[in-house]
Amino acid sequence: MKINFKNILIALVEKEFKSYLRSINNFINMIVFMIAIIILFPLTVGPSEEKLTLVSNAIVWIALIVSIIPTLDKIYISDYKNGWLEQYYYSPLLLEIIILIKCFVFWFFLIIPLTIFIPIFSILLNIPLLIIFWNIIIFAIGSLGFCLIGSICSSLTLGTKSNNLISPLLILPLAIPIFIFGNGVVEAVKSNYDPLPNLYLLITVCLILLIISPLISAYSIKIALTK
Amino acid sequence: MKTTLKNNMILKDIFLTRGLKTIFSSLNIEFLCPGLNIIKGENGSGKTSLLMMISTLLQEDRGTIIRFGKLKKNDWLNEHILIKQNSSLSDELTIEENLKIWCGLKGWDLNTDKIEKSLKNFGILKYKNFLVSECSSGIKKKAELSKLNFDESFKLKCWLLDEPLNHLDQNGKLFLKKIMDKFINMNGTILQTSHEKKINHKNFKIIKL
Repeated sequence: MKINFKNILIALVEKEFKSYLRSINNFINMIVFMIAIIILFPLTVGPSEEKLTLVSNAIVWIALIVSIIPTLDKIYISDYKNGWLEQYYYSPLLLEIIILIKCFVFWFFLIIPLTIFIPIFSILLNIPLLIIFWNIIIFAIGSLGFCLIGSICSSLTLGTKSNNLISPLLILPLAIPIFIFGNGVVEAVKSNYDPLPNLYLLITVCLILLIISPLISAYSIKIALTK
Repeated sequence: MKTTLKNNMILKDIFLTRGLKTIFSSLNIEFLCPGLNIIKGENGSGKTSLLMMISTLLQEDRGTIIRFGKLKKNDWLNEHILIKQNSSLSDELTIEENLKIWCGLKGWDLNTDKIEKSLKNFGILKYKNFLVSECSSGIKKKAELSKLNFDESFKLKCWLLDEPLNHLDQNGKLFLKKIMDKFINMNGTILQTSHEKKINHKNFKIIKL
């Protein structure tokens, strides 16, 4: 039988897009959570402008990461529960490629729109424009890495009953290189050093994840489906 | 019809365990190919596990499964459909979207006309734009079984149907029988689990677990 691979790609993107569009609550939850952190943090630090300038960039990053993590472990869970992961398994397209597309769609439709909020929050916290620019670039690249790490952790915890607890514990240690190199770029810009070496390292980490994440995720999903 | 080795589905000396429970020990079955195979057994006897094992969703611990000669795993995945007892439709999508995306994932034609035709045959065309979460179990079941009514589905080698008659009304049952007969006439093989006593098909084999 003739198999049209273009149709598989269209179907995958359409399914993911429509699913995210109809579960827009998840996205709104992320934004509300982020706003709550951004508002509460300065209140706890106190009215000192010096202190706030020192930690403002960290606040934006913590707000972004903490709001993303709860959604990362849900990349596969609904598909697993309603049987779509099995349909992916039966598809003529390699499961690894399907996972890669799923991660890209998740990143593009759920995470990239968050970058719109970086300038807004950064201006609220009085972060300089140059740092805001670099933050957007780092977050756009780093968040892809987060999604790929999330894919590994989400697939590893598919069969478990308490995956809500395990996933963040798995995601955070794996995400440390992204934190280090992402922060390295901002620190370099602040100190007038060349930020590119750290940026290249961040890109390297993401490229490595781009290769290993679909392989590990596909293997874990196959185990979860066939156990 | 004369069966050849390439047209055979045989289980030889199968052992299957799930957790600590042994489901099959030394199971030997030769299925009727082409034809209807009705798998019967009490609850927990392993009917669903048997279908899942044949479909490669469960891995046998020991033994050999011959799926139409020595069909490669990837070829086998493209040559059969497994309709499970529970609906595998996404709650966030409408019935039509679910079927369209399902066809797309199989690499089949994405034409909506054939989906509408299939839904119409099952009498659920008016629900095509309903979200699956808003539909009753019967409509979900009919939407799930509509996957069998596409032209591409009749070109496959095998259908694995896990209690397809559950939740179906009389019209649904009659139409399902019609498409099953059509598939068998086109040299298809059906493995169906069922608790029904009355079987309305002519050429079938009963397998008791």
